[in-house]
Amino acid sequence: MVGDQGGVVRLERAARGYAVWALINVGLVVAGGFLTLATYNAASPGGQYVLFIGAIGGGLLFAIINGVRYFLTLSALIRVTEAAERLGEPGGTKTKSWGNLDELQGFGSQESTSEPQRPSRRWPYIVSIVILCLISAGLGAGFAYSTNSAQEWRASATRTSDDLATMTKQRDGLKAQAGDLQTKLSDMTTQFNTATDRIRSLSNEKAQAGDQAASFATLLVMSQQVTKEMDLCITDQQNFMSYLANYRASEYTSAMNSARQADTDCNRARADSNALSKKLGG
Amino acid sequence: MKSVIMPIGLLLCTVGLAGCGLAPVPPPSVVSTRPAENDPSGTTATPVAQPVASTGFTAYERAALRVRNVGCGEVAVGSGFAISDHVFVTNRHVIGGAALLQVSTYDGHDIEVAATGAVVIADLALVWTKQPLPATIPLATENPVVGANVTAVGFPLGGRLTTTRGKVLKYAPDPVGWSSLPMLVNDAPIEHGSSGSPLINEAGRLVGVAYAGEGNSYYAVPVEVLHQVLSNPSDYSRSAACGGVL
Repeated sequence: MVGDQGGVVRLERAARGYAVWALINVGLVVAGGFLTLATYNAASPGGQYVLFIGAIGGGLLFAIINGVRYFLTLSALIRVTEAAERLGEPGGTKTKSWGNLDELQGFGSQESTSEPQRPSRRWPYIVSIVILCLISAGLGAGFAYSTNSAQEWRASATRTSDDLATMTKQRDGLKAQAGDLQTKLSDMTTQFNTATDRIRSLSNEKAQAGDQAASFATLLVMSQQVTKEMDLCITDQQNFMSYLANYRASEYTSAMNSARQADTDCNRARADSNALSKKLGG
Repeated sequence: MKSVIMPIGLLLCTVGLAGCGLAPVPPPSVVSTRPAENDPSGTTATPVAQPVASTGFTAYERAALRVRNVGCGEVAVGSGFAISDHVFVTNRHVIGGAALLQVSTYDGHDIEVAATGAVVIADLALVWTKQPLPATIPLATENPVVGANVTAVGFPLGGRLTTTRGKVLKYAPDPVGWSSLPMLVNDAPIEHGSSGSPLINEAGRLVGVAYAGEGNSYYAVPVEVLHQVLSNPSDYSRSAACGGVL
């Protein structure tokens, strides 16, 4: 019984130790995170900060390990206490004293002296540690990848911003050019419209001048015709006067013909002259 | 003692592990890309001039021709329009008795006349020119329906090139009596000097040739008559006396 009492005490001490270490490691995680945040906030944009991955990752790892060991030890302690209580009862089974604490940590107790002693179960620890290491390695790789990716994205964003600024400048320049061109186009359109109106006006003026010229030409032809007929009238009258001056030598018939011819030509000249006068009078 | 040293050693080792990271950099500030017209301050807005609407010559104005008939002891003015490079259409009474026929385009260029042909069946005439004409008007295939919009382009009173608009009112007998075919009556105003003006539909095609007016009704030879003339050259007469009398 003394040995059993000593085992219980050792189990209790071990459990306390695991709990203390678990808490210490939790504290390390918190401290590591706090320090990382502090350096991150202190870092200038693009500057460096310290990531306490050892404190955070290792603290987390050991906190979990010690936590697991604490609960296993606590479980073993409960079983030992129960076994001790059963020993005090009539017909109770004699339990082998706990000589080795590590055996208790192997997730089981020795229920009977007749059963073979099972080897301590360490593989869960090893598996847990390996998994945690893999997780830590994955986290580290992810962090490295994300840092690298962020740098690439940052560089890409910087280039894009530069390109955008350049294109914005070009666009503003082109917009100014478009404004100038539109102003010139407006001026040209105004000039074009002015020129079109001028063409209409000049074309009309030319047509009116042509009409006047044609009218003058027509009047000139009429005037020439009147002049020609007046000449003929005068000639006929002169001929008739010649007949009258030499009436003794002249034939009566010829004289009368001359008189009728003079009358006809003079009447025609008078008619055309009247027509011309009417035309000139509008 | 050994069980304490190991965890402490491991702890120190892990605490000693630390790496460096790069704090993110905010993107550089970019010049505002907001369009100028949306800039409330207006400081970056580029003044944009509004283009002035162009008022050049229309296609049918370029096809319009001014015809001056010098003869019969007077000077008379009429209109016409080109239907091909060297042929234009006008009225028979516009070219009748001409000792000299002078033709000018919308922009005042003179065109020499090569030959004329007066049409027997209506107050139409075809004139062949030595120089090419600036533009032509395509002919519609059929007469316009009553109520259709029409545009007349000519030189009323021998003045400026003028465009007037109206509608087809009806088809009626020729008031002059030169044709037995029904003539197109419309209300697009014309004057003396507009004789020979083209009547154009909304598609820009010729539907009639103006030749007379009576009150607010104006008469035009329908395009189908012109088609008939163009497909039967024997219907032409080579000369017309003063006033278009054959």
